[in-house]
Amino acid sequence: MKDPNTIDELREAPLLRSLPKEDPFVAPKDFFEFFPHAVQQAAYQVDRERRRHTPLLGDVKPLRFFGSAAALLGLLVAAIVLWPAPTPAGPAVAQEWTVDEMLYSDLDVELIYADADIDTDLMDLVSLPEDDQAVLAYLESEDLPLDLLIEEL
Amino acid sequence: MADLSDGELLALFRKEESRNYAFNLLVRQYQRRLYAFIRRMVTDHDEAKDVLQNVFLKAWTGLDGFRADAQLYSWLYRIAHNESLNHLRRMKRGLFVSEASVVERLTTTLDSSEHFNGDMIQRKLQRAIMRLPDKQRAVFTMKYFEEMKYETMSEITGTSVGALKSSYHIAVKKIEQWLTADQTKNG
Repeated sequence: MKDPNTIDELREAPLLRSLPKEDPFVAPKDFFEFFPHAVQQAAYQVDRERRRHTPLLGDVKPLRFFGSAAALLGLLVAAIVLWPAPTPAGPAVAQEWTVDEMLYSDLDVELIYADADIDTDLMDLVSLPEDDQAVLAYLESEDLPLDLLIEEL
Repeated sequence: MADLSDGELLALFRKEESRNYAFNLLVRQYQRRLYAFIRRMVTDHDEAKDVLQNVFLKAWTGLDGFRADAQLYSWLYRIAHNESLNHLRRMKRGLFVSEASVVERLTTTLDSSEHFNGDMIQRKLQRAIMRLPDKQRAVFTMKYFEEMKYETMSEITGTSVGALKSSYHIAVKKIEQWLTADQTKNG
């Protein structure tokens, strides 16, 4: 670390240059013997304080902590991605087992219609045209008001 | 026991089982040199002890992140430099006093210190050094007493080599002037 140019820089300071470079500051006797122990104690204290402020971390070192956190996050993502998707409760299943059907599953519908003297031919589904123009033409031909249809919907 | 190299100390420090042992060695290895610098900055032994302890505590908490390509001594010296300046700044703030009052306090501490064994001329030199502004005193101490290279000083202080050369040159001129004036006054 010594710089050979040091002396040259003192050429304009003859008085300073003539002085011996002594260290007049002295430490008390045995200071350097005991000081390392005092520092070590203070370091333990610092560690204890740090642990107290971060109790969940305890002895875990930052690198280990972040490594563990990253691994846990990876597992979580994998679980979300690989988790088997639930079987969708499709409309077909709901239609198969409506409440009415469950209640009256043992009844003969045809027999009921016959008892009630209902003409089942009238109950056939009417197939409606699909496009708007055809619907309007149908309503006109049947002389039905449009707002009635909207209300029905 | 021979001093260990920076690499050896760091390798020991990074092992859990030898961490405390390595830190103890590190303190033993650098305490005297750092104490000498800090003591020249703050003058009083007890204050120097507190600052030195803070330096090593910062090392204890920061050594895990220390880059192996840097010099351990420069790194510790940089902490000591910053801690000394912070201590002096806090002292001024706490006392609500001017720079001149701080110099006066440091001089009084020097004169009353039982841990100063210099002769009259050494005492005069120390008084002159204390009159320098804090940062310039640090530069003068590193260059004059430690004979450090400007490049190393630049790493420690974060100041350019040119600015450091200029600062040292001015410090030398001031001290020479004060010493000469004192000599003339006292015959």
